[in-house]
Amino acid sequence: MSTPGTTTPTTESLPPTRRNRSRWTDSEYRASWLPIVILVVVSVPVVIGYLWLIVSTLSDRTHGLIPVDSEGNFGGFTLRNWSFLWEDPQIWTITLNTFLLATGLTVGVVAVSSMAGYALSRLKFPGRRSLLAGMLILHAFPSVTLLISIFFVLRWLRDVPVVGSDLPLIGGIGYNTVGGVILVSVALQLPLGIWLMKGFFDGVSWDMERAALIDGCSRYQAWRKVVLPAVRPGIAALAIFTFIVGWGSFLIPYTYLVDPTNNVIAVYLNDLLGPTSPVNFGELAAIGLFQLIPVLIFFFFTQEYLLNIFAGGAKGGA
Amino acid sequence: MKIELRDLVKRFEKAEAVRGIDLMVDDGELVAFLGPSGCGKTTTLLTIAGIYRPTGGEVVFDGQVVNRLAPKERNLGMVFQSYALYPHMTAYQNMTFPLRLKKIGEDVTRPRVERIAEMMGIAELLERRPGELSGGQQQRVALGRALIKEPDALLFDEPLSNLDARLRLTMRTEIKRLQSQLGITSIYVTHDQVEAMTMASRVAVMNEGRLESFLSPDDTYDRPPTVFVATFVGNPPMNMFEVEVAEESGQFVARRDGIAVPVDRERGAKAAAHDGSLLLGVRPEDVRFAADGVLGEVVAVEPLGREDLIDVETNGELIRLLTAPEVRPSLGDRVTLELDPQTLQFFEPSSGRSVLWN
Ligand SMILES: Nc1ncnc2c1ncn2[C@@H]1O[C@H](COP(=O)(O)OP(=O)(O)O)[C@@H](O)[C@H]1O
Ligand SMILES: [Mg+2]
Repeated sequence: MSTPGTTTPTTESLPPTRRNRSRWTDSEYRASWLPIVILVVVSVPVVIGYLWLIVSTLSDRTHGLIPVDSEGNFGGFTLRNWSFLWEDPQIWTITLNTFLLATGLTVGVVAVSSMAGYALSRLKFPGRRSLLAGMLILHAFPSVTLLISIFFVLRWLRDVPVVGSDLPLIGGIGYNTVGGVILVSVALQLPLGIWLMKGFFDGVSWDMERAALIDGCSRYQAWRKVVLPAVRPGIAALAIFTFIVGWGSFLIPYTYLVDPTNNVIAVYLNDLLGPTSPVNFGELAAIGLFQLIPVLIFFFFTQEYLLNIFAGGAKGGA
Repeated sequence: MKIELRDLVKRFEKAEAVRGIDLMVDDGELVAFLGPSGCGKTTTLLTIAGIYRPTGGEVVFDGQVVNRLAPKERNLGMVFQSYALYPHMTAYQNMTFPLRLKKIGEDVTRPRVERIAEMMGIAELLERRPGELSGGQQQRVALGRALIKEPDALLFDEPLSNLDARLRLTMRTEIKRLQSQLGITSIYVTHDQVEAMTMASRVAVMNEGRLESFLSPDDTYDRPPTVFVATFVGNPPMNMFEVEVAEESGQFVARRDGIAVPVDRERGAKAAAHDGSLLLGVRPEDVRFAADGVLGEVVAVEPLGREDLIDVETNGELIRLLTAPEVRPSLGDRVTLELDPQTLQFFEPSSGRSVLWN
């Protein structure tokens, strides 16, 4: 009903689809304020916690979030809390150990789970059901109760020639070696990994695998070239999850690595809380942050890739 | 390649899916396996492909028993209902996958893919992944993948069931054209009788793991050897009711209380030679309104566009007929029906076998 000569609203002249889209975006905008407010309120305590962590690693003391020097005045900036990086050469051995543990755990768990999970998902063999049930029970089993028996196994393994305690880098697979800790961690982590991978393999259509066999694959090739790529998102998720577990793991290395100078970060951190000397919370925070950095970097570089494969995996359904 | 099944049996732990099938597919022929869901079509096909090993009997390719050959040693192409494309590969990589497994070089592969993609109108889609293709396009890629290795035989497992009606029609024609052009022996599994009848030179009708009939589409329709084939093939299904056939003053008549249907001489003679009652079958299109015949009352009228489907109740039996829409009766009308004597089928009630065509 617009009179000729007056300016018509621009939306009127747009093709219908564009007009609809802009309207849709508008309402979306208005509706999204409330959730944002709620989310901000809820996440403020968490953000403040991390902020404090960062501030306190760089200052003498803190009053709340405000860094202060020993007299209580604003300031007191110091790198003393980070001095372990250059004053304690052990930190690099310890970091390397942690890295070896996390990587070894990831490789071990992913390799075994992706094969065992496939077998449990696809093959018929006697004892399959009890194996599946046993796996769940094993996962629920508290690993603390196994510590002593595993200790005997590891001590026996240490006396096996060469692999027991004379391997480069990981030391071996026996007691008081990084390799031994990896071995035990992999074993304890496997039930969950296998169970997860079985779930992912269950989601791969039989037809796709049959197509691969008819196209000329052997059973192994079908697994390697068709089924495994189809569960890549699952493998990525399992790998990330396992790496983080390995990077932060405490109980197993604490129990089976006796030498505090040849240990992992979580144990190093724990030693600072020892009963003999007063706890330096600034240094504790600095090491905690130091432990967090690789994980953050890792996420920063992989998040785009991760989001991509997850979206692609959902789309590629056949 | 000739494909022959000899008394093929496939048992799973809980079910006997295939219970003794004998048939022979000639070189270059397209045979359809038709049957209701769960009758063992897919199992038979996968046994031919080598995915399942037969529990009993033999799968024979060109006179050679191949029971123990792995799928990859059989040189077959297969198209699945679910397309079964590899989601992490592009259409091009999907299609070349069988060749890459054989380590055939890009110089042979590329022209072959391009020729087949051209033939199926998917040339511009080769760099896309399955997730970026429509159902019809995915099925074309899957067909291309099956064709690329120049298989000795093609196996189709309900390839069009996931497509919409219109696309199904065009793909049907296309597959048929490709198949006859390339002359590849093909087995086409479907539960859609129109697909089976239009595409195949012979239709194997299956029921509960057994072969009910293996005839040309016309014979399957006009000379059904069992009640199952008669009622499964044809839509709406064949009318079926019990009668006794006898010769009365030179004319064969099928009778039950209140109904008397004249039967043509040849069929009547075969039916009358049989003691006791028989099942009379007549297709809805072979029944029409007439001045004289079976009396009944119209209980339902379903307009189908080109024709009307009318349900008439006569002495407790329901007879359905297809009529031209110009003569549409109303509910409750008293009508008289004539059953075309040349088309009546007769079956032995206990075994379900035809007394005419065995
Ligand atoms: N892998 C299998 N394990 C056990 N039973 C199966 C398997 N495949 C099919 N069956 C059974 O065999 C019968 C025939 O199945 P199928 O060949 O898929 O029928 P169709 O393809 O004609 O619908 C069904 O009863 C089905 O439950
Ligand atoms: Mg099927």
